[in-house]
Amino acid sequence: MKKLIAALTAVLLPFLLTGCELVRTVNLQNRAIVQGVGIDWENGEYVVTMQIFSPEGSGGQTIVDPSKENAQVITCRGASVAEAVEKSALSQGKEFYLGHNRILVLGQSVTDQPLQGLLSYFINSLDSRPDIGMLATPGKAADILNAGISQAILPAMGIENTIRNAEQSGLSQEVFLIDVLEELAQPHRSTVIPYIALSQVEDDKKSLHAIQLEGFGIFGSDGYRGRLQGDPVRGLLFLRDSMHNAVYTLQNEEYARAALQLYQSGTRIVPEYTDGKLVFTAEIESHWTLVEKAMNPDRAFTADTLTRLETLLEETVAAECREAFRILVTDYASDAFYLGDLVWKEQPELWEQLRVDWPAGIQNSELVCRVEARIDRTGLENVG
Amino acid sequence: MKNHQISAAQLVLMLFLYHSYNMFTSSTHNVTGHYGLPHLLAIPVALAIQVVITLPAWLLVRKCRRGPAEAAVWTLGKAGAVYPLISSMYLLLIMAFTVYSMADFMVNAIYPGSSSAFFIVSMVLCALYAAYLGLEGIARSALIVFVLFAVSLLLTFGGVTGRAALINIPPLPDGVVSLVLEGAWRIVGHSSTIVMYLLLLPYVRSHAGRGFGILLAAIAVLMETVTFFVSSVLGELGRMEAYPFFLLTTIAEVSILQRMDALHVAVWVMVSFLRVALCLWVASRQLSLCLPVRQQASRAKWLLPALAAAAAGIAGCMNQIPRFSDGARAVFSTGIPILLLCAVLPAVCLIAGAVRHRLFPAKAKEGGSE
Repeated sequence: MKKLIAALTAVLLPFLLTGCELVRTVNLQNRAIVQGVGIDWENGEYVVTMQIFSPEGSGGQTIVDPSKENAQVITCRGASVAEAVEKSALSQGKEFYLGHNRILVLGQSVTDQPLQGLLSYFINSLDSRPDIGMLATPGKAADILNAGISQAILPAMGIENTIRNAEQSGLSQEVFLIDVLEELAQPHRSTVIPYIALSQVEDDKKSLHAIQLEGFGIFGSDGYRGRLQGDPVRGLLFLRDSMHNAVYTLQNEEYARAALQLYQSGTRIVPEYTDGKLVFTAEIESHWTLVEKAMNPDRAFTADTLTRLETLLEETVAAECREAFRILVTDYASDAFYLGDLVWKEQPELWEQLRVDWPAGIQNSELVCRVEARIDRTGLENVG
Repeated sequence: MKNHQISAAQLVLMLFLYHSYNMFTSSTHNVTGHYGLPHLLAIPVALAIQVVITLPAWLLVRKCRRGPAEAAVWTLGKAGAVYPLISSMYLLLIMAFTVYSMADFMVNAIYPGSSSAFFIVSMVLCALYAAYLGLEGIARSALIVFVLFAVSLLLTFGGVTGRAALINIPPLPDGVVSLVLEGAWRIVGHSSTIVMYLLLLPYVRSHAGRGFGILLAAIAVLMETVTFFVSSVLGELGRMEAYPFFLLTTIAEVSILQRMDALHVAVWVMVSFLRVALCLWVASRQLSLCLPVRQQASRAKWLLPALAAAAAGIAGCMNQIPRFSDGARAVFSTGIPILLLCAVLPAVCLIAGAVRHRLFPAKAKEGGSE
C-alpha cells in the first residue's frame, strides 16, 4: 500500500510543476527576446538600445524569413542601465529576456566610463549571460543596432558571425563580457575590445549596411585608453597567444608573392630586470603552410628559398609584435599582455616595488621578440 | 527503537554530498583571503588537521564500542548528556544556516524578487518528511543524487577547462605559512562532515575507519579541483563574486550544451535537501540521548518537528537580521564546535572512562539508540 501511494505521488507531483505563482514567472509570449544591446550616453543619461527578435514570416509555413531582418529595435533611457530597461515598460508591453543576447556594443560616448561599473548590470542580472560578445564603436551603438544588416537571419547574428569569422582568420579576437571583467578585476591589467563600424554597400536594388572591423580599443580600469589598428593588430594577437590562424603575404628576391597560412602557434613571455630596466622576451613558436606562391623569373622553389622566406616571416611577425607593444605599453601604458602577472610570478619582490605605479613601470620597459617560424607544409608541390 | 543500518559506502557518498554544499558560496573558497595558491595548499593541510583532531574521538569509539555521544553518556553518566546536547545544537545551527543560505542563493541568483520564506518553509517541510522516513531512505537517495552531482561536476569542469589559465592563479604572498595554517583551520572549522561521520558511526555496519579516510581524500580532491578551476578561470573576479562556482557553471560550454546552470542549481537544491534532512535526523537522534532512557521512545517522535520548526525559525531570523547569519559564520570559522566534539569532550570522556573503569565494557551492548 505504501509503495502504491509513493508511486502515485511521484506520478502526480509533476503535474503541479507547471509554474508556481509564488515565484514570479513570465509567459514566453510576453517576453521580448533580446539579441543585441547597445549602450550610449546622452545628456547625462544612458541610452540603451535593444534589438529584439521579431519574426517576419513570408507567409504559409515560414515563420522566419531569412531575407528579412526579423528584428525590432527598442530604445530606452535612464540614469542607470537597469532604470533604462525598466522604463521601457512605458512604451512597450513585453519583458526583456537577456538570456539569448549575443552582443553588447559600447558607443564612444560611454567608453570613458570605467567598464566594471558600466557592465555591472549584465553580470548581476540573472538572465544575462557572461559570454556576451563585447564590441565597441567609434560612433553610436544605437546606429549599429538600428542598421539593416541582412547577412544572417538576425542582424545581431550577422555581427556575431562576422567577429567569429575574423577570429578564425586571425584578424580579430572574440572578446566576451566575462573576459573583460576578469581582466579588469586586477587593477594593473587592461583589456581589449574589438571595434566595429558601419560601412555602406550599394546593391542594385537598395542600399545595405555591413559592418567593418576596425582593430581594437584598449581599456583600463579607468576607461578608454586608445585604439590599435592595422598590422599591429596581428602583433597584439600573437603576444596575447590568441593567434591561431593568419595569412601573411610576403615578397622578396625569390618570391614575387608567397602566401603563408599559420596553423599552429604558441607564445611565451619571460620578464627580466636588467640594469634597472624591465625587458620582456617574447618567444613565439609558429608553424606555417605555404598555400600560394609565385616565383620571380629564373628562381627555383627550393629548401633554401623556403629558409629565407622563414627569416623574412620571422622579421615581419616580430616587427608587428614590437609595434603592438610600443602602442599599447609605451604609448598607452596598458598591460593587455599579463605582463604584471608575469613579473609577480617570476620576481615577487620586484613586483612589490613596481605595482605601486605599474603604468610608469611598464612604459619604460622593452620587448625583445624572438620568432621561430617553420614553413613545414608546402601543399602538393614538391620542394626542389 | 528502530535499528537503522547503512553501509560505509552509503555513508561516504552521503557525507561527500553533505560537504559539497560548502562549494556553493565564496566563503569556503576564499577562506585565506588570498585565494589561489595559499588556499590550494591549505586544503591538504586541513586534511591532516582533520585526521589528527579526530583521533581522541576515534579512540573513544574504539574503547567504548559506541558512537561518541553514546560513549559520553556511558563514561560520564548524566553529565555525558552535554555531548549530544552540544552536537544537536551544532547540527541545528548548521541546518538553519544551510536553509538560510540556500534560500538566500535562490532569491539572489535564481528568483530575484521572490520570497525567502517560500524556500525556507518548503525546504524544511521536505527535509522533515525525509528525516521521518529514516536514515536508510536518505542514504539510498544520496546514491541517485551523487550520480546527478557527478555528471553536473564533469559537465562544469569539462566546459571550463579551455578557459583555465595558470596566469590567473595569484602566486604565493608573503607570510604564506601563517596564511596556509590560518586557512587550513578555517577549512576545518567549516568541516562539520567529520563530526557528522563520528555521530553516524553507530549506524554503519562495517569498514567505518576505511570509509573515513576515503571520504576525507575525496573531499580534498573535490575542493582542490573546484578551487583550481575557480582561480584559474575567474582569477580575481572569483574573489569578488558572491557565488563564483555558480558563475563558473554559467560559462561552462560542452559542444552545444550551454547555460546549464539551471540544471546544476536543481542538483544543488537536491544536495542541500539531503544535507538538511540528514542534519535533522541526526540532531533528533542526538537530542533523544539527552532524555531519560524510559522516555526516549515516547518523546523522540516530537523531536523531528520541533527541530524542524526551530531550524525554520532560526533561518528566518538569519534572513531578517544579518547579525544572526554573521554570528553563525563566526561560530563556524572559529572551529570551536569541531574542536569540542572531536577532541576536547572525547578526551574528557576517555579520562572519565578510565577512572570509572568504563573503557572496556562487557560484550552485551546497552543504550536506547542501538
